[in-house]
Amino acid sequence: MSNEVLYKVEHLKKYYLAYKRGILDAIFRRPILYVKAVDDVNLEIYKGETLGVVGESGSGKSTLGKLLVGLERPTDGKIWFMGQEINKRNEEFLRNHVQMVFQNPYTSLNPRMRVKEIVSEPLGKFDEKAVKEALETVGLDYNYVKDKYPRELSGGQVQRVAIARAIVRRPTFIVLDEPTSALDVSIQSQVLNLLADLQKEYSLTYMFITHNIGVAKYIADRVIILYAGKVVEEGKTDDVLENPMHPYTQGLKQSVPSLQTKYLKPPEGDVPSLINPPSGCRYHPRCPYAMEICKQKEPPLIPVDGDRKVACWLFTPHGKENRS
Amino acid sequence: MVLLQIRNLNVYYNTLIGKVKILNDLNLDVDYGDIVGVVGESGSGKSTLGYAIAKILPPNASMTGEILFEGVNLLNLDEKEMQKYRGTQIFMVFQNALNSLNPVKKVGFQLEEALKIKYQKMGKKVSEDEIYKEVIDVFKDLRLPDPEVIYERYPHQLSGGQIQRVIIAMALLLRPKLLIADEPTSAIDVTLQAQVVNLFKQINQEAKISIIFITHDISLAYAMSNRILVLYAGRIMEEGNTEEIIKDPMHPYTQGLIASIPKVSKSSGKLYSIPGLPPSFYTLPAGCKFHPRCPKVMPICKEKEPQEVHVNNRRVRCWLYE
Ligand SMILES: Nc1ncnc2c1ncn2[C@@H]1O[C@H](COP(=O)(O)OP(=O)(O)OP(=O)(O)O)[C@@H](O)[C@H]1O
Ligand SMILES: Nc1ncnc2c1ncn2[C@@H]1O[C@H](COP(=O)(O)OP(=O)(O)OP(=O)(O)O)[C@@H](O)[C@H]1O
Ligand code: SF4
Ligand SMILES: [Mg+2]
Ligand SMILES: [Mg+2]
Repeated sequence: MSNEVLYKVEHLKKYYLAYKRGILDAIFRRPILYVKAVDDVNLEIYKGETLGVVGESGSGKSTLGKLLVGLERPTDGKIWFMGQEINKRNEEFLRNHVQMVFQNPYTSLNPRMRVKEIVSEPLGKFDEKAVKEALETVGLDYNYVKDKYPRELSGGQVQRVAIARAIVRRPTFIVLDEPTSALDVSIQSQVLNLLADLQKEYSLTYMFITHNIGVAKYIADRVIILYAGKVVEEGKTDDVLENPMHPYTQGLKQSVPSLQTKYLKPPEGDVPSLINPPSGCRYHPRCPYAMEICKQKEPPLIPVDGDRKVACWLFTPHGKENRS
Repeated sequence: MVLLQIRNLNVYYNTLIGKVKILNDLNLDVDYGDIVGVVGESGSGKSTLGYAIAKILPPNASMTGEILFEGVNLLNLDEKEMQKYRGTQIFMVFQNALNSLNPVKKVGFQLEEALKIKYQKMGKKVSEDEIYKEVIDVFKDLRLPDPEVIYERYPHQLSGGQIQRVIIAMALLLRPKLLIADEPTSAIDVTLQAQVVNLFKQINQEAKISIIFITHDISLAYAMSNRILVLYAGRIMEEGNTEEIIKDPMHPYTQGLIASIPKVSKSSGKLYSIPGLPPSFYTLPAGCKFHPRCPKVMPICKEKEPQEVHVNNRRVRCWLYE
């Protein structure tokens, strides 16, 4: 890990249309509804690090990943990659350096392609030497797998194929979107070890998306916690996951089963609407510490100590005044 | 007090290649109020065990042995007699929840129907309004957004996680004596998963409902159960008190499962992983079915399959303890 910034993201937003607008919606001038999947995210990713992204389903993790690798275009905000601001004209430059691996390899890889075709696809042409090397790097026997279809391989093997495909062009950065959550624990360890080795060998930078806190602790140097499209906490993995400050991070931690505790203490309530998110702090309807200000004003993500940041009124001088 | 006794259960599937034995001489007692966590890797036979107990194995399956539910051998019952048990006595939440709902009926209606059958079997008269309210209340417990709207929806209009919650709602409404829950929280979120685990534990305590909780996540089994059963290649490798198994796993496979869970950061070294892959039922190794992956393998392990032995409170199938 270095201090060299690979990505810089400012005020990044991705709003999806909540549903397709029909002619009647236009005639009656019904308001356009948006799903605010990523809503004003600021962050930096340093060269060689693994940034963990943790959050509930629907919090915008995959959308953030897709924005960074150019699979989605931002609604608003800026992305700098290797010092260049990314726009429509230089998207190609970005795509040449980045890759993404998805959660379910059976659905994310083309089932009608053979392994060797899947892995060579990003190259644009079949280069046996490169494909063989990539497959061997991820621990697969080239002759055994090259002519197989994904369905003929086990879950762990297919995920290795997906990783081989991601590294075949020697990218700088890979978004790993829950790459092990469909795998058994024993296979998950094999894949995590492989990813850690690859990172060292090729000085890769990762964004690792997961809802598994144990996995994040193992693989990530720093983490961000997403809630309803916003970063609520950021910092060194150990700090954030051992001593969470944001009430949501605390609730999340107490929801994850582990062998250290038999009792789960999840936060009450459900994931909020992204079309019409709660006012003020988006977590306030579920937060056990919610104060008056939390309902009215959105807390900014502010540094608390060192490289730790939290978006919660409990940790601002302003909030303290309001608590009494 | 024992609710369910499984004796020498063998389950086979007929396939193009021939008849293959999946569950092998399985014995298990489930007491009233027990929560048994069934863990093991994909393909180890967890769902097959659930289907066998509920007697809903696919048509190409067959079984031998005894499944005694309150003393009655379910294997001797015909389909009509078995119907009396399904729902109110034994209820199974399937791994693929979508398959357990009728696609052409509104979900609220399906839950009402189930409740009416339950009250009919109990000989209890309950008004339509009360039934509606009971369904809506459970939806609220399960944090289904806009319960009244969900009530009017058809299954295909719900997300995977919402369907799973509807099925869990059915289990909570029916309050069977035995609930078999097959990966019931796999499509839902961590915070909701934790809420569901707590709801299951609550109905278990309030109504002494016994639960067989199937999961590949041993940490989840730990949070949920008072007993754990570890399956490997259709065999019980270890079975006993949850706390004891987690603190002191005896079988090398259980030890491997626990050691594979990430606890520290990558800077402190590699994660433990069980080498290799689980075997195929068509080419099971000789001797102990785990021996090709076992770090403690001895010559005898490759030749003879170990029997289950009782050590203290525990059953283990491993030559280290014979
Ligand atoms: N193409 C799309 N069109 C409309 N809405 C979308 C689209 N993609 C995502 N969304 C919505 O944006 C929100 C965030 O989705 P996203 O997939 O980023 O979440 P996530 O954190 O990755 O969740 P999960 O853990 O379930 O993968 C969700 O409400 C989702 O329904
Ligand atoms: N209808 C069937 N016909 C033939 N073989 C089957 C059938 N159903 C399951 N099997 C096989 O039986 C074995 C056990 O399957 P089962 O579904 O019980 O495993 P599981 O432990 O539930 O796995 P998972 O964690 O993936 O759900 C597997 O090898 C599977 O391929
Ligand atoms: S019997 Fe032998 S191979 Fe099997 S688990 Fe025990 S030590 Fe390992
Ligand atoms: Mg996602
Ligand atoms: Mg199963």
